[in-house]
Amino acid sequence: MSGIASLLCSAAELAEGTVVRLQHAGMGGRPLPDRTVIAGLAIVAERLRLAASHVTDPPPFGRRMVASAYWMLAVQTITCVAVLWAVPDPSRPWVLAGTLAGSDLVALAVVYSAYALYDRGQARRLTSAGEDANPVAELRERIAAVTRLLEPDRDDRHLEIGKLLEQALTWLDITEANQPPT
Amino acid sequence: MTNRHVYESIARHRQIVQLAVQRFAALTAGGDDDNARAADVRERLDMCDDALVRAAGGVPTWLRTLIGALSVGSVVWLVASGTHLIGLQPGWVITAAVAAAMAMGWPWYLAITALPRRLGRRRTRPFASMEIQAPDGIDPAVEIRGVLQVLRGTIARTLDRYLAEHRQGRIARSAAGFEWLAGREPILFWLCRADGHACVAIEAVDIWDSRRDLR
Repeated sequence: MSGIASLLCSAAELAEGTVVRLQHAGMGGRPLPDRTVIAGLAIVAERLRLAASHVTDPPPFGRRMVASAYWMLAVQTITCVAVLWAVPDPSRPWVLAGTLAGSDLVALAVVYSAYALYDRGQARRLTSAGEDANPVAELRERIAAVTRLLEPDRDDRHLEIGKLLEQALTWLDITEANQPPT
Repeated sequence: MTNRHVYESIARHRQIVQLAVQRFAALTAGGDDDNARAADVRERLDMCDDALVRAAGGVPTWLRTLIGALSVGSVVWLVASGTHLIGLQPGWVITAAVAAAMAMGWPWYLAITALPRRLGRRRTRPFASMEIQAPDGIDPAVEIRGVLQVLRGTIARTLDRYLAEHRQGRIARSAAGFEWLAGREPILFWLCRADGHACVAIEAVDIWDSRRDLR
């Protein structure tokens, strides 16, 4: 079932990303994108996230924030152990306070510098990235894949998930019907 | 565009949402309209307002970490001093101090999840009441849809102005770049969410209105 949850989340991310790309089309004084298309995709994303929440608890923060929290904890632990190992009497209150507080700042500096470098590289690659040909068709395919996976894996949750996927498909139909011709 | 200007714009967006909320409340007051579809419209408008609040509720990571480090430092110092005074072995002093630092995790998590909304509300407090008079004879449901469409236009303008002076605004010239940046910038992320909720709210008003005609 956890495979289904990650498929649902990645489909939801695709829908959310498509909404943001469409919103970009309405900036710079250009006409706003069709509200039904935006609403349809937003509801599809919501239904997919809700379906995923029937399988696993949704993470409280975004993936990037969770990953950076883990990295910061790792760097902080290493820094703390290294400093407490190196100083002669680590049990002195100001040493402990300084080490634990200071390692937090060191972890922030290290992790965010690494992310800044990574982001810079990613931003450079973005200029050469191609656009998705048809995100609605892609979403439909992904939902169909989840439905296929759901069939042999039937338990109490599959009915609820199936209902949400049906609603998502209905809203995809509405979105498709309102999409401007390309 | 400084953050203060962004918050002022968001305060205006929130006023537009409140206007839609008021108009819808007036439209459904006293009738048999308190059904699931009317509740859906209200919920969508609330979600739109919440997204706007969160757009204005950002706390810079460095500030959050600095406050966290100072809090951890103070608590650890107090615990280490206390355990030192009662004469615990150095190993236990360190254990108690680290345990105190770890115990702060949950209250800290609660504080950083509650802070953006609180801060966002404070930053986007309405500064003047908005009086928009609809032309005579216009259907209130059409008026609400119009108000929300105005909201979408103003959000798009805020995004434009914000990106024009953003240090990475150049990246957002392409749709892929804009999506990438919106995943990293809370203001962009939540303004886009607010626009999405406004669209869903318009659809919800449409659905509610079509059922009203059937009754």
